[in-house]
Amino acid sequence: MPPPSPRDSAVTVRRVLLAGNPNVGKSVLFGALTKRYVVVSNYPGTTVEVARGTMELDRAPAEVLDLPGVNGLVPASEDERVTRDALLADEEGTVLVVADAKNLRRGLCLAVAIAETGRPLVLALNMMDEAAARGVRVDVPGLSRALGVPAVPTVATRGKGTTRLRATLATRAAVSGIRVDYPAPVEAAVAELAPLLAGRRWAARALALALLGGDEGIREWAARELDSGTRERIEILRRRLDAGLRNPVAYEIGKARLDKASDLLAAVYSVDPALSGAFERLARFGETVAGRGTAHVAGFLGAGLLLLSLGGFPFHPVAAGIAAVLIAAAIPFARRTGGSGFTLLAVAGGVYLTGVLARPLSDLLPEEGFLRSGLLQGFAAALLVSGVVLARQTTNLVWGTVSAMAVLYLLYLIVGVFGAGTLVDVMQDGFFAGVVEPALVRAAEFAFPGPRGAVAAFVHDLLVGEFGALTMALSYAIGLILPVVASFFLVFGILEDSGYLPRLAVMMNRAFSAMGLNGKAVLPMVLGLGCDTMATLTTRVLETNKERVIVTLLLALGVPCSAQLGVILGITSQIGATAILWWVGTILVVLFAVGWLSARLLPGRRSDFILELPPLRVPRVRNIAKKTLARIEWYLKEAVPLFFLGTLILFLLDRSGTLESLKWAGAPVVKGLLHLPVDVTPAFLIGFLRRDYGAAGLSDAWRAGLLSPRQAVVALVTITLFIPCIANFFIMIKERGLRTGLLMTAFILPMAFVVGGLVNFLMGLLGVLS
Amino acid sequence: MTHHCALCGYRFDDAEMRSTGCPACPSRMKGCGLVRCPACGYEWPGEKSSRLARLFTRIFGGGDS
Repeated sequence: MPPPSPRDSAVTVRRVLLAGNPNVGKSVLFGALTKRYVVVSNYPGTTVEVARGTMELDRAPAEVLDLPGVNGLVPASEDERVTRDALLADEEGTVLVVADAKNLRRGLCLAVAIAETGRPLVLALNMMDEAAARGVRVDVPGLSRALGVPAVPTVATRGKGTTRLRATLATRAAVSGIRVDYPAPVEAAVAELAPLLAGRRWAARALALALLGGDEGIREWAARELDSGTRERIEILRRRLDAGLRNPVAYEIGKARLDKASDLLAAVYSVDPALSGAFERLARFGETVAGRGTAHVAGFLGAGLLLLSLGGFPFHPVAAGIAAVLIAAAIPFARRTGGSGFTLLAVAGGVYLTGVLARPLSDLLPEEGFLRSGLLQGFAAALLVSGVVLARQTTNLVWGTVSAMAVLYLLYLIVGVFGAGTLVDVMQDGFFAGVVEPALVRAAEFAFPGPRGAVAAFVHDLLVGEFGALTMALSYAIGLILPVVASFFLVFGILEDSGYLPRLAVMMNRAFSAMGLNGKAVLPMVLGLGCDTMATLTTRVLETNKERVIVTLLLALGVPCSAQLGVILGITSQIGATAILWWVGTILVVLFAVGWLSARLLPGRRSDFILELPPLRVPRVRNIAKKTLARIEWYLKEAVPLFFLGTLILFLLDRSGTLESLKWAGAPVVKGLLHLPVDVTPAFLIGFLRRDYGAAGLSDAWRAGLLSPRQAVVALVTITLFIPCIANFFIMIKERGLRTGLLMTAFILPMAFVVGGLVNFLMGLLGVLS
Repeated sequence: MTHHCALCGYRFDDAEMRSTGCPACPSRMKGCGLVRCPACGYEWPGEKSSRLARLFTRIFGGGDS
């Protein structure tokens, strides 16, 4: 049997091309429609497998091709290219677009793109049962009318709707008359190009859009099918568009299609409020109340409330100066960003006024006690509610930043105040220092009574000495770290289940775009919050080696995994809100500066970023509890063995006298550059194994009074910029090669110390935390 | 067991993860205990492989995953 080819349609009466997004049940529907004579073979010239079968359409056989899942018609992989080529080359086939009814937006986005090609089309709304179970209602006749093609609800796994689908394919497949409005420069270029492309298999408008969008594969087609004059005209128009548009042409085209899909969705798709949850309803209420105009006022008040909540920013010339600089910076930015510029200006004004009003407002609060605490918690509650109200706007850079600050405050309350404060006091100072450690030391004294021989002394110190496995590793892992990571995992679980993470990804995408970085780079960066090592592996999804290098570097440099973020944030928040702001601000500035510079030093084109935003939900307590427990167990298995290894290394360095030499050798950096006591050198040494372990050592030093608040911030900033863990170091080498991996390490470590030194210098200059 | 990806919202079961998510994992680690979304690659510790989570379920009952 020869491989399937879209050109051999003469042997069959008709052809049906099954297209759809990945994981929408397309292959199940293919099986339900064909039932027999299925052949799977490679698509010509590729390694991509395509299943081919036959079905009866109006008593005549028709060939059915199950094309690979795609998200659009501009291919990003060989699979997607096969689908696009099949749609481009086939002359008489009907396209059956399969969409997941519960995630309809991306399905409609693809359907709109295919409809524009002018091919006869039928839309199958699959997984209708799952959609109905979630309260989703789709106005199928309305959607059919809006698209101008038949739409058929199906449940492929149970064969529901397939009979109707066959009948529809046989007699009612239609060419859609839908029209997407693209930005004016794109429309002008299409109008100029379309007459030159008439008489092809695709509608001239769709072909013009594909050519202008820079689809490399379709340019090869153009080289074969179009004369040199037309090709030259296309290149001129493309260059003109690239120069005239703020975003790449493909991005503008994709966005217009997505907007069209969103409009369709808004008209025909609804979710039963009773099933979608109170959080969603609250967000809708907030959106209605705020409206577009008053949203700016809400942002103004929200920013003020936020800063008041973050410890009552006292009136200070420096605060007023920073606010003035913010406003000055906002004006040119406002011009560049159009609509959101005014919002930014409003927030900057809010910051300024808060700086001025904070002291008198703070003075209104009672000095200490229950009432003050209650009022502050009231601020926190107001902040959270405004966070919910703003949640719909979390993909906007400005509102997203405000929401992110609200999330940071939530983290501060649960991880910093409760986890690193109350829980650590109970576990470390109460349980470990008061009960466990004395018991372990007594047991060791009993097992190895003095005077001890060399071996007995070695084992005794290995267990309960200064760098003992039980007194140091166990105490750090269980007493200091576990309460902090447990409380952090709790918040992280809430964020996950509320649907906030994808919104963070979209917001970061906008920030990344401002830096000129690839939109796809956002995904590994967000995954890095889970585990940097796995996120480094995920950089394979990026298109060029340069992009992979940049993202690997940023992940290793400044994206802490969830456990490390929890530990570092927990410890920083013990020092106070100023410490958190300095730590977060420094890490963000370093990440953005390195990313911005790398993107300019290593040129490459941006690619599009498509992510389906799930609805906001109220997290379920049982799910959060189970997630938190699973993460705690994972952490204990993953990280604690490295704590013991690190302690063993320190113990051996100490016994051999090397530790003193290292302290002496590191003194110019630790003492000279960072202005830290040399006694924290061991924390930096074990920071090479895992940076949260190093942070625990710094926390210990802070609790013992070895570090001033400023020194603690400097030390934590420095260790945050270390490579996340030893596993991440090896994966960097595995993925990027020995030379690049070592070069990155050689960049990251000095960078960490230089940034630490700069933070120390700046804090000294501004008199912060002196 | 059904999983729900916190990053992209995709719902999938163990069978789909084993057939789509795990083969796509560059580390090819068998039985690593992590759940990997076939759609976007996001990973998290699986409750099924966690004794603490299983204990919680036995005591307090299930819930969505």
